[in-house]
Amino acid sequence: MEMVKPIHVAKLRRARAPWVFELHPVTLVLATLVLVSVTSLLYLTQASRVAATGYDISSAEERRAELERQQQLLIIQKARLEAMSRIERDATTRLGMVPAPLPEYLRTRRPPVDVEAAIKRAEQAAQHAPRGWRERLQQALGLEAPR
Amino acid sequence: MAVAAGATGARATPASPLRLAFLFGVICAAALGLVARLFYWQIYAAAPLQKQLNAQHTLDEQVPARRGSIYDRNGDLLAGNLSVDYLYADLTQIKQPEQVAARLAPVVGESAENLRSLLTPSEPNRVYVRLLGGRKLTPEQSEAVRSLHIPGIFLEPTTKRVYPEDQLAAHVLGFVDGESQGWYGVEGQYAAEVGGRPGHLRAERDTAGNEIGFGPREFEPPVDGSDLVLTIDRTIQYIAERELDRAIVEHKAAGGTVIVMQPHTGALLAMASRPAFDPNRYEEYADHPEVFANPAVSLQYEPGSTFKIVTMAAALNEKLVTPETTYLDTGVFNVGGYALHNWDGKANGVTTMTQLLEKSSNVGAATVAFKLGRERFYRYVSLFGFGKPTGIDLQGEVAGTVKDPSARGWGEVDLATNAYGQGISVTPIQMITAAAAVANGGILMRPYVVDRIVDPASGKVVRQTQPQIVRQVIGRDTAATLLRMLVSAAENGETRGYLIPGYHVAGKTGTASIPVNGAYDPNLTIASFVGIVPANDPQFVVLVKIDKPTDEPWGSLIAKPAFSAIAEELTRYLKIRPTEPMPTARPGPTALPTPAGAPAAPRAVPPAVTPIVAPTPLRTPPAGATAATPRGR
Repeated sequence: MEMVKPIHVAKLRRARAPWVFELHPVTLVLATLVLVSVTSLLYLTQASRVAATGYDISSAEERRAELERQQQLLIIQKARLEAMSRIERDATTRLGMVPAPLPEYLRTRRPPVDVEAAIKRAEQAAQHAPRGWRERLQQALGLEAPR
Repeated sequence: MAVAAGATGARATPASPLRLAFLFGVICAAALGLVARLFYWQIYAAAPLQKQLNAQHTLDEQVPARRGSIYDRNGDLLAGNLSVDYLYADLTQIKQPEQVAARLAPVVGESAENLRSLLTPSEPNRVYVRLLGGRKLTPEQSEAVRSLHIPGIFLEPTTKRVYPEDQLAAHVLGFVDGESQGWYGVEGQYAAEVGGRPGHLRAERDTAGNEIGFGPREFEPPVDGSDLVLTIDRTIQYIAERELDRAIVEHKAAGGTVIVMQPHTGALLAMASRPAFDPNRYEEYADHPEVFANPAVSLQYEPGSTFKIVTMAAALNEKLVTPETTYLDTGVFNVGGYALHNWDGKANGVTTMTQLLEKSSNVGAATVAFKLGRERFYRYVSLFGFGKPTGIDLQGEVAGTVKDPSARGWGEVDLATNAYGQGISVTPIQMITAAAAVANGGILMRPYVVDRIVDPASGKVVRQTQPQIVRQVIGRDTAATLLRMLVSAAENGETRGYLIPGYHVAGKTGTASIPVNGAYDPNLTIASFVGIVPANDPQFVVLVKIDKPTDEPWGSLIAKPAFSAIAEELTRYLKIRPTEPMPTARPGPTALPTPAGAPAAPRAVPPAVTPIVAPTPLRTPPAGATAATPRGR
């Protein structure tokens, strides 16, 4: 079997599309010029776009820095307004406040009702409500099953 | 024809070899000159030119890291950062320095004359000048400068550390200098964590100095500093500082310290000392740099009778005494040729251990110390943490001075005087930590001020401080017994009654002489009080120490009222339920009998009692470890 040489393949391809390979030199120069121009244009477009984006980023970063600066300033101003010395000074001089007197505590016989604990107990009781005649009977007789 | 022939002849004349050689020489010389010039610029002078080029076209700068903020335990800001500006001038653009100076002066708060001299070029190569020295503009001044739009005047942004509460907790915080270096306090101790690590940017820039987006770029991002959350509560700190200031002014004292500690954890709720400084204006204290050191950890003092807590704890723990054990108090204790007296010079007769603390007997403390013996006494002194740093996370802590029997020059008189807190030097933080151990069932805790370190970006806790047990110093039962005795000492001592209405307080006063040039100052004392509140379930311990009060020398009259004022307010602030019946009228402590017709004492301030100063010892020993003192109450 005879091997197909690459040169034969190339010749065959050239024969099929002669217009591709037999360009006039002027056409070839013009085509090259167009190709180079388009490539350059594309490069320039992209480069300028990247540069513009870069400036946008710089601008945004500056804006962010400015906002952060303002935020810092506001945080410090807030902290200064909340300073203990200022609060006491304003309270006693501007608002006419006085130090609180000694608190009076009331002793009660029973501890105050803890609402949250009461709700919790009720919920637990609801969860363990008697089910069936046997548990009801035990409850009625006061013989609650161990939980 | 002749002309034509001549012309033809001229064309035909061959070039003179001399002229050609000359021309060749000229061309060669020019070429050599060019080569030499090229060599100069390209090789010899290339490096500085490259540097200039890089300076013009390359952005090569350090990107500062954001310094972490500092908050109190409730999240209130104690130290933050503010973007501020330095003021610069480009002298090449300043054509009329007088006019520029006149416009800038009222805005930046500097004299026009000073500005004019800075804006007038003094050296030909000087282009950029930082105006106002190292002073940074306030945000308002920066805005005003920007609005002037003066060519050649520009602002260089930087950050400034700001402490919105000014002087509050200054010794705990420390300060940050103009180079962003933290000094003292937590700013110094946690400099690496709070300061972060600066980054680096290397990129190309345009003529306006902006980075070119598509140029080569090397960027190492900065690592921002972490935030610190302290154990300090700014409200408690404020109360402590206010009462400390009040006591100092009232008693014309030189200074003082107040510390508030949680006994179960060792966390500090407040730490205040005077004299203090404003960290916002640290540069104004350049002539007194000693003010930056935190006296609560850096300054040692002889504690006086508050140290009897340690002596009694040791004796109780060794089961050598009980609260009811008695001794005969003759008013004098002779040792090593010295006669040591009680603070009031009185003989108390048969006295129990509880009464020893109530009366603050020096003779009793010395008796107990000798019952313990030198080995056991100094072992307990060491176990309570004296003579070595507590390990608190603040810069500049000192160890104190304990002269034990192995030290040169130690004598038995030292054992006696040390028993009532003279001849031994401790720091306030050591004293309160030891007292807190009694309040904590005999367990000594390491004191600390930073609760956690937080990553500001994610909010995650980088490091959480866990309360750290140092050791069990005395047994739980011993601690409980001693607490009961200290309640009696606080309430039945020289000033009687509740220190805080509705609460039992365990505590001990101290009045210590001050060693000066090898002898004790006859007039000045350090008055102190350490108290545990409430005694039945200790929630906080307070140490009040007033240095050199000039109207009264005694801890019971100087430090105890300040303690009462602080502790009363803290019980309210911390919502601690009263344990005893609350009196309907607001009482002050019932004082010892006052002269008939004397005016009623104001609240929490006992009436003026002129204590009897003990007679001078037979021989006055030198100050320091071998010191016997007339005081120690």
